[in-house]
Amino acid sequence: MACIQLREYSGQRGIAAFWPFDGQGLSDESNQLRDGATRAFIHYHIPMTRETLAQKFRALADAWQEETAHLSSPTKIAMHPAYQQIIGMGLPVIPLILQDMSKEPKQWFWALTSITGINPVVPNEQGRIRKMAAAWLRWGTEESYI
Amino acid sequence: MPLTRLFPNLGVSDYQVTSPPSADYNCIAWAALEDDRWWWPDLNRIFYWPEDGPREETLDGFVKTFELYGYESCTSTEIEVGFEKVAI
Repeated sequence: MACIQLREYSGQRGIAAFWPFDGQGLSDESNQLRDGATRAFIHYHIPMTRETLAQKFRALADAWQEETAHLSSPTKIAMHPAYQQIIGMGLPVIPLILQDMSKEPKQWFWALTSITGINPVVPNEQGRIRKMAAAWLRWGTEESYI
Repeated sequence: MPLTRLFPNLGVSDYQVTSPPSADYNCIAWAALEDDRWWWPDLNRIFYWPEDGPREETLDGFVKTFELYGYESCTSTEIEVGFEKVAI
């Protein structure tokens, strides 16, 4: 039986995660419990009324990256609760996503397409992460997001 | 995150890291001998997927796509001389 315990709280980033982070070896019910506990912890420690958009984005993005960096399924990556919260932040979060992607190409494509309803990547560059990131950064510049 | 935390069974086996982590490709692409793009049958068409392969996240869809490249279903998971196998 898996044990859920609180990982060391990181005051710098204002985020916490619950062990085990990847959910391997846990039942679906345990994973749901873990995700719910993580969301409750995040909600308690990062209430919207006290966090700026940038701070909230950074905390969620770090949690998402930490827990999905090893995954190969874009669907699983995009379905992570923190990623879904970022999508829910809507258009105001676009500059933050693009800024993050300009430092290092990450799997922000699903979120960008979901929020904006467009995809500026040409077909022969589908899946080529660095070229996809470049296409979105060009789009962001043209649309004055960055 | 340490590999042995992500994949606990590594701790009980003899393994070695053969390449650093890369964000340029995923496991399906690697199985298809590509290491410069992500393959995935997403309906948003964000990622690459062979035109003739069904864009559906099902076992059958993945099998049909690999059949396009000469693979066929087999019953044995053992290594066999003369055959290259992928586990889906």
